[in-house]
Amino acid sequence: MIELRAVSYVYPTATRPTLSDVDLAVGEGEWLLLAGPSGCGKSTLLYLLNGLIPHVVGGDLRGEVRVNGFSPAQTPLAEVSRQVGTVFQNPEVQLFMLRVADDVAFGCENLGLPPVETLRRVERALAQLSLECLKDHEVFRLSGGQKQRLAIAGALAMGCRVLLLDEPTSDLDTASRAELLAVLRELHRAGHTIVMTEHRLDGLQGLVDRVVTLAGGRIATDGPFPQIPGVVPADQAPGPGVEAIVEAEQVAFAYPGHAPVLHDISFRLYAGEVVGLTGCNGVGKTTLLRLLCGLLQPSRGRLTIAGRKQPSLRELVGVAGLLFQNPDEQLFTDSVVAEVEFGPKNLGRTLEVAPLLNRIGLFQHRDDHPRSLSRGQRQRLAAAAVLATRPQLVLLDEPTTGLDQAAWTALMQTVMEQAREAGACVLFSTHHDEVLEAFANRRLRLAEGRLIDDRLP
Amino acid sequence: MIAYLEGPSPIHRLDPRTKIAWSVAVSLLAVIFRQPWYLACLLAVTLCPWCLIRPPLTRLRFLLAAVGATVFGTALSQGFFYTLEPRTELLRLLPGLSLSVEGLWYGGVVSLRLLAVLAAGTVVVFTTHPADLILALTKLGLPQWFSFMLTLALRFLPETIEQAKRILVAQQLRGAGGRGPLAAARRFRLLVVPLVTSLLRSARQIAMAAEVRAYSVRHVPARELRLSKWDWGVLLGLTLLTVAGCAAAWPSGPREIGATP
Repeated sequence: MIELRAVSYVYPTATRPTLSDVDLAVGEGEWLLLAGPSGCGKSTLLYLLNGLIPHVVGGDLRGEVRVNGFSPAQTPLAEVSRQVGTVFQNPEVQLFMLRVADDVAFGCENLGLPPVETLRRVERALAQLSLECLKDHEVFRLSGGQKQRLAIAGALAMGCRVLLLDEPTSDLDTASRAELLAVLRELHRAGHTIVMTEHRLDGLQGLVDRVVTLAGGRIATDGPFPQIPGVVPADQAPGPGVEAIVEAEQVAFAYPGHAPVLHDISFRLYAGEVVGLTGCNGVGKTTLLRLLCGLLQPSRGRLTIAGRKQPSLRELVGVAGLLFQNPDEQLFTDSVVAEVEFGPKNLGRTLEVAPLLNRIGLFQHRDDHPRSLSRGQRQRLAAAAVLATRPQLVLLDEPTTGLDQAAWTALMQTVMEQAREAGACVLFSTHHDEVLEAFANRRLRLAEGRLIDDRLP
Repeated sequence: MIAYLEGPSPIHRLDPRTKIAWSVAVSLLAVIFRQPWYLACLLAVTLCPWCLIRPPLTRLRFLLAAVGATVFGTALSQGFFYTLEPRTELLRLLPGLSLSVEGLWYGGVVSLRLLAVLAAGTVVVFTTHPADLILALTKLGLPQWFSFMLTLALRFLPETIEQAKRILVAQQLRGAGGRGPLAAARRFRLLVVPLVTSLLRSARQIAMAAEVRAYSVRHVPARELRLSKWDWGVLLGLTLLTVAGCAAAWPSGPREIGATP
């Protein structure tokens, strides 16, 4: 079905190959998992199979790639897309139409199929992905998991028997991830060939037929599902102190004109604690973090942060820091140094930049533009920029999304070290059980806007 | 505030092309009519569909505020800057700058014209899903690449707005503040760079995702639009109204209404 022989590839602006001498065969109906650290060439390999390389990306491709007997490099992309469907990591950038059914039809319409045939395929694909009841919904109202299923439905409607999935579950919560994996299991049973890249291996055992690990652009291992290495619990998670940084009593919140998001939440967070916040998407995790940094005010109840009662955003600047999921939304300046100095300068505080940059491993990049860094480095820089103001309460909103294990370990260790030095409390939301086990010494769990669990992980 | 409003009204059920024809017909008559009473009647007719749509009060309040500001602004600006003769001075502010009766009258008439066009156009936007509106425009001859561009713009607008908000929040949390134009300019610069960079990155990913779904300009839309008997009835009525309006306006010739309040 899929065959790569002595394939090497160099990106147009690169000097070194991203893939070197790769030989790989995937049988019809096989489910192959491509694993390996960021930058090892997993996505590049998928782009070779769907023809984006060389048709769109360009570059120097050597060796032979064949899918279903044809060469994607020598076949028009429209022809390749009839047989090979691709689902990208970010669901936002692969859905173009405003309504669900229109988006499923998009690919068929591009192939010039008669409207009757397109509509028949749309109905079938929606049924396969259990999306019939959402067919007239607006795309931007769907959850992340529904969007990924919609992207798969679009590929199936085009008649694809080969599915390429580029980290499709990295933006999903545990429930949506399980739902998507169940859909993929059904497609696998129906005989579709699946090639999937993924950082998170939990939940995939027993589903995939084979795991190929890439390292430095070469195949490092090729075989059955490996034993998942345990994550070493971080020794830097300090025990709870006595000073309460956060005191929430019967806190409730509702956006104007909407149903309450949070109901009567009560808890205390102490200096030195590292607390994981879990729960499905839309359950109120981000809302809670926004309340704790003063971006929102409780509709009801009492909230005290670092001794300030019902504090405003202005009062909490420099006291509470919030790190978002996407580092690119919080890097504004022209250099790494300027980024770290941004907060302290605004607050009139002094900061020793060099030790902080050394700690996050970016000292040699101090004069570089933040956007020239890798995703993992950008996330570490964004964290350092938040920590530079030495907040007493460090809030992290799904900080490990899209990072491989090495990257998220480095990020979380940076945060832990800084927080421990400052005697701060860390509260991070996550869907990632491994991160929770490795770093949290306490867990808060939300369900339907209520705090249903408060315990050690 | 001017986005699509889901509802069961008969206007919602009309084909988008019929509603576009309605908007075009009203615009045509608004340009042709010169008599204020004709324009007032036209405005009254364009308000009829509003009774069927029954928009929520919050939206109506917003629209009335916008309309009030438009009428007031237009009347006042014409009142001051109307230059044709005769010109009866009502109030002199500065030498060479005075409010005239004819100017106010002319401003009022221009406002009526503007209101009729806006009222008709807003009905189309309020009662037609953007996807249907774009499909109708494509069926009426809008190039497919342009339709796709419009769809993408609408699709990604909410996410872009949210992203801009998150960037501003991140700035606030790190103490970026201050008042005055310089601080605002600085915040704007700090917003634009990450936002544009992110949009460019997304644009590249969108292009790749479109390519793997065989994006081409020989797109064959699966959804068809069909004119119902109600649509044909409305179209016939519109044609008669437009012809009658043109005929009624004809005898007035090129007379300037502003000159004869």
